[in-house]
Amino acid sequence: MNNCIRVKKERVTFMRGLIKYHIQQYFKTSKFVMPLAVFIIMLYSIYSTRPIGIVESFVSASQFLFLVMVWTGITACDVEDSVSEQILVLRVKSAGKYYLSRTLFLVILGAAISTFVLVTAMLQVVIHGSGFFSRPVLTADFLFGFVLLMLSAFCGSSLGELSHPRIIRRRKNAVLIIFLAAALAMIKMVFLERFPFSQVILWVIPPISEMSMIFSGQEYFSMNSIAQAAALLTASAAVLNAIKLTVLIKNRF
Amino acid sequence: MKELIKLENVSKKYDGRLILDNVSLSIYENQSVAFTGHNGSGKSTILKILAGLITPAQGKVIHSGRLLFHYVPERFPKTNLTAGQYLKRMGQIDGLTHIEVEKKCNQLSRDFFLEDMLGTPMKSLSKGTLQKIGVIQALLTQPDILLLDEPLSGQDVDSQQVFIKKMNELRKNNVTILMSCHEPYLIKSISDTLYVMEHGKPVKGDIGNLIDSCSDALIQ
Repeated sequence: MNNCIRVKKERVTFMRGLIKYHIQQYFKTSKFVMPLAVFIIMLYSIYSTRPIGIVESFVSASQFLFLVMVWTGITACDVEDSVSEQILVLRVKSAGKYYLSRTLFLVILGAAISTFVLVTAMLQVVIHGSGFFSRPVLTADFLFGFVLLMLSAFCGSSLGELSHPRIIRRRKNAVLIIFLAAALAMIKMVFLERFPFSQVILWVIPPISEMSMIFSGQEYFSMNSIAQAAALLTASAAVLNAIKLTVLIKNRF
Repeated sequence: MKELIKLENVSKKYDGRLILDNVSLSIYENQSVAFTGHNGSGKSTILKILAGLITPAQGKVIHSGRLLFHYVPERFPKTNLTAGQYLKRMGQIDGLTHIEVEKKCNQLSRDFFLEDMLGTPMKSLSKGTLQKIGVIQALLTQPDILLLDEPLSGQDVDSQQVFIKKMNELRKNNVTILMSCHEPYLIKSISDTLYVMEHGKPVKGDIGNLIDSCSDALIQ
């Protein structure tokens, strides 16, 4: 039993150390500045129309956040050097654990930006009063909004991480392919209406445009809609991460 | 002696060129193995295959359990972190407490004449200083196997002596050392087994007869 506790403690320690390392590496560069600046501008454009629907604003914000996190995932792959990666993979005795730590770092970043969106919304209500949103805000709005934002962010960073140099060798191709996939994610429903057979290929693209359909016309978040959205986004992120992990472990250095 | 790593009929090609040709080799606990040879002869490749960083095109690599490797690469990467920040993070990943990391970093940086450079961003450090950081990060805690790829590249003579002393201390603590290098005096100082990479195969060399010219290493 003591051995199990010691091993679990060691795992938490090195995982915490790895995540802190990724955070410090990323924020020591200026690569986060542009995605964050663009997101703040997007957020401003969403909240410049008053009164705005709560569900509508969170869905729009989650779609923008998806795009920004794709960008962040790509820049996070730029930051890590192949030799540093080798040192760390050997140090933690597992490529899987190393790549999990990178995913968790991006999940934490996504959670932080999602929190920023909610705090911004709260501040808007405090500053502009009840006229800001089309109805009074409920606690459930922030809870469900956070789930939607976080999972959209997770999908975005998972897609961005597929630009890793050992998955797509040429940097230019990696950026083009990933941004094309991100653009398709935004217009997928329209594309499927025109070309239904493309479902065969497009199932792997994150279900971001589906969010507009799921929450269309809703004044309040419903449990059914949130559950459906959460299931789709989680499944998509899981598939993308599984692809990433499989390819990275198979295609070693 | 316990066998730690076994290569069975391992081959590796890069861009159609055969780097390793049907190599079979065993590495034992507490061995200190040096691989030498011409540039491009496969020294770094065989180190990386032994560590499991590269998959061979053919053959098997067998490890006796999950081994802890600490790796000193040939060219340590430049990052935006300061040397101190980087070493602190490596120590934390190794499971050291804040106080232990601080103590170890200070001691090792003193030993390698780096005390004044811990606050400098790594991207601003010289090649030799960066390589010292590479060595220090590998010495923060004791690994099962120490992987050294041209570890003395760009280092001053005093630091080289410190390095040799540290390596021999690790050998006394049962650490296995796998090294790729060109310097005969380094091989003589810390290795007990020598392989010369020739035509894709590691050929056992005679350390006792090694003279100060890497291309003249005598083969048994």
